[in-house]
Amino acid sequence: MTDLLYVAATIVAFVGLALLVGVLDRRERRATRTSSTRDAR
Amino acid sequence: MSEVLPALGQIAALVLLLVLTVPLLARHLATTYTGERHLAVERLAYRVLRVAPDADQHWRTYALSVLGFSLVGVLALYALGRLQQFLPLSLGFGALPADGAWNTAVSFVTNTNWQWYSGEAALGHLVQASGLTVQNFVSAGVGMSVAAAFARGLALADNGGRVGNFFTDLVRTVVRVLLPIALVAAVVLVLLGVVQNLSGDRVMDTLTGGTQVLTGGPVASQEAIKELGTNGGGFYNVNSAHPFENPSPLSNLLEMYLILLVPFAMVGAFGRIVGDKRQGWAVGAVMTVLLGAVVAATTWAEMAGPGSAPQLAGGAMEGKEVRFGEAASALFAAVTTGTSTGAVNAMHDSFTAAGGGTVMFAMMLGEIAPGGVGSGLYGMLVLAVVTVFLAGLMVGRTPEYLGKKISQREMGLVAAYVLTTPVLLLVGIAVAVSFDAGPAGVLNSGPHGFSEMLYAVTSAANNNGSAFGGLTSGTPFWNTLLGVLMLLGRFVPIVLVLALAGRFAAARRVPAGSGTLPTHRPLFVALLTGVALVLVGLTYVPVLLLGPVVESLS
Repeated sequence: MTDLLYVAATIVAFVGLALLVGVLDRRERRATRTSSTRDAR
Repeated sequence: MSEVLPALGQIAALVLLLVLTVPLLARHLATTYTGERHLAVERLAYRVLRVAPDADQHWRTYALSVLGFSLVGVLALYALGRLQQFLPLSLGFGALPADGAWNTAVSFVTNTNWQWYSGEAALGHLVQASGLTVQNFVSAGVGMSVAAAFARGLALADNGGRVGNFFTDLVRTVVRVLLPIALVAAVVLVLLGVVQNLSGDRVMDTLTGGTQVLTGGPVASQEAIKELGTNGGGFYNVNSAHPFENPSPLSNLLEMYLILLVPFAMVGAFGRIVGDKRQGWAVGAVMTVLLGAVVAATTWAEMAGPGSAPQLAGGAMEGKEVRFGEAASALFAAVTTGTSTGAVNAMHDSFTAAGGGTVMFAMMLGEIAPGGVGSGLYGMLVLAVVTVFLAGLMVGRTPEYLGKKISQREMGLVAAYVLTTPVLLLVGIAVAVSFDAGPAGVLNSGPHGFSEMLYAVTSAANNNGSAFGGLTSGTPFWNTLLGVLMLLGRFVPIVLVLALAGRFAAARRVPAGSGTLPTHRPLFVALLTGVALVLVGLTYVPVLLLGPVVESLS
């Protein structure tokens, strides 16, 4: 049971870090799109 | 005077060794991270890993590769610890407790090497060699790969955020850099008297008629990469204070040299990768100044021995090995805490309050002087971005670093990076003192007891791994708390620094103008040194006051 807890916590922590990567990437792409639109105008 | 000359002599020998070899390794590292040719053994590794070595990864894919690879490492090491009793060469040792196995797995994958256990009394040869030593290689490789990706991000322009291939970087780092140097170092260590065998415990009759248990094992092979990769996890409980790990002043010198070699060489490689070696020299100068200050302060504290107990005893020799003495112990402590290496050759808990506080401060700098392999370089480069930003504010111009404009979005990532470790450290110590289980493991009362806990969370959050001692950390509370700090203290900054690398790689390069702050001149070196000290000072002085400062005044 304790093993499952530590393994699950590890996986959750890494999934959280992967989500952080996703959030930063999405922010970045949105910012790039905004600046391209501004440039086009 | 008789102790001052040997102290200066060992520093001179260390500097000479580094000056002679760092430029050579820097050139080799730059070729490793920019060359297009693959070695046959590397091609084999790519085939096994099923990766295309020439495919450049977007920073997002690079970061996910780092995370995926490290997750597998943690789970594999955890399984080795929990299943030890079924494995060959276990020497009769049973499974590690769940919290201890998790702490150890996280500790070695994050290049921290915090050890709550006694290696010779808890782990068999298979776990030590195929679990911990393998992680010593690959965790160091991960840090160096991320630093290489960051340097490439600064060197490239308009390429859509691609920063290289993680698996290519990792395999090349291990095959071309870490394995060859560690092999030679291990042989030299054996020649200097470090143990290397597969024997277990041997009961020996002593001269006084008693018996003593001597434990052998693959020590030299672990010792070499333990220092070279700024890992620090010792085969024995007392680490490099053990005569089988570090038998003489000469082996001590070699170990300090191995610790500093790659971090300084990475700086030289950075200069070559960005096409301006002077940039590397500038960053290296800041690291040298900071390390020099830590060395000077620690050596003074331990050799002068302020405080009533050292004065009465005629020296601060408690917890130090006679074969090393005060100066070599202080130098080793400064070198390891400045580089995220968890090795110790003396018990830091017995250092004077000023000496213990200084090595804690060295870790709080964020492991940038010169820092861990790779992590020291990217940590210092993030501070370089802060420095050009502040300088830009002073003169009212848009800041830029190496031709890349620093906008609000870059500064958002930089601010998050700079805040991550202090938040972890300060929340960590707050949690530690808020629950009974925290102080329960502390040996001393008063400010020294607080320092024992503060050192532990500082070491974990900064991925150093050395222990002050005096803290019984092998409990579920401490194993879990320190494990969380190590995990987040390693990977949150890595994700942020790779995002920053991607932004730089995607950005256009702007030519230097009359308002550009030159980042290779002494003025920038002074500014960057000041920024590092002020940031750390503002963040950590209050918590340092509660421990080592109060202790040294009392």
